[in-house]
Amino acid sequence: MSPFVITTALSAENNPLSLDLWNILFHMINLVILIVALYFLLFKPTKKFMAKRKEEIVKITRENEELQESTKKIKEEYDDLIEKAKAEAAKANEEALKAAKSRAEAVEEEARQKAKEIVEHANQSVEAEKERLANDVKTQVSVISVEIAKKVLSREITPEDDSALIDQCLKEWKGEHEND
Amino acid sequence: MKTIEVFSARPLSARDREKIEIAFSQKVGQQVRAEYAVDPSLIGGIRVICEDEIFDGTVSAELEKILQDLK
Repeated sequence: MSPFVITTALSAENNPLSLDLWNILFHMINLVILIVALYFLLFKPTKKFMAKRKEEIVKITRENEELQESTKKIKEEYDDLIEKAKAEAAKANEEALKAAKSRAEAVEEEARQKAKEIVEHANQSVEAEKERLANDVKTQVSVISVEIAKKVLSREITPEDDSALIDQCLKEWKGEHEND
Repeated sequence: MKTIEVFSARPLSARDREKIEIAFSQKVGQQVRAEYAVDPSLIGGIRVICEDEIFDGTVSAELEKILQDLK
């Protein structure tokens, strides 16, 4: 259809909305310019910004994952160390307990041995004391017996007995002299 | 003449003295002169000292010997 036809069709009498072709065209061109302008001024920067933002988010996410991985690894190493330390502590504890028990047994044995020695020494002392007392008693009995014998003999020996003793002594001494 | 010392528990009779002097004269090979002394602690028998040698035949000496053996 010819624009002149369209214009004519859209004259004031037939166009209560005041629509004009050049107006529409103008508006359409405006719209296109706006769209183009918006694309370059808004859409593209925004897109670029969003892409950059997305890239940053991805980077942060990756870094976060790496950090988590590293943290997990460190935690595992830490747990291993803890377990090893616990095992070593348990082992050291057991060894210390064993050593203490061994030392206690040695001390007990030493004490037992010492007690045995003390008892033996005491027994020996008692036996020695018993022997000494027995010897003392024997000596005292001997002394008393001899004293009693002296007293009795002093009373009982007569002059005839004395003479007989003298004869016996002289005979013995004479016999010794002959043997010399 | 040699001198001997004779100790006894009681005074000796003449007979005993003679026996002692004869015995010791034979022993030393010459006449001896005895000096007598009484010591009741001897209890019985005699002790004679002749030329630094002691002849002890007393009862007390025998009892002392017994006591030493018992000890």
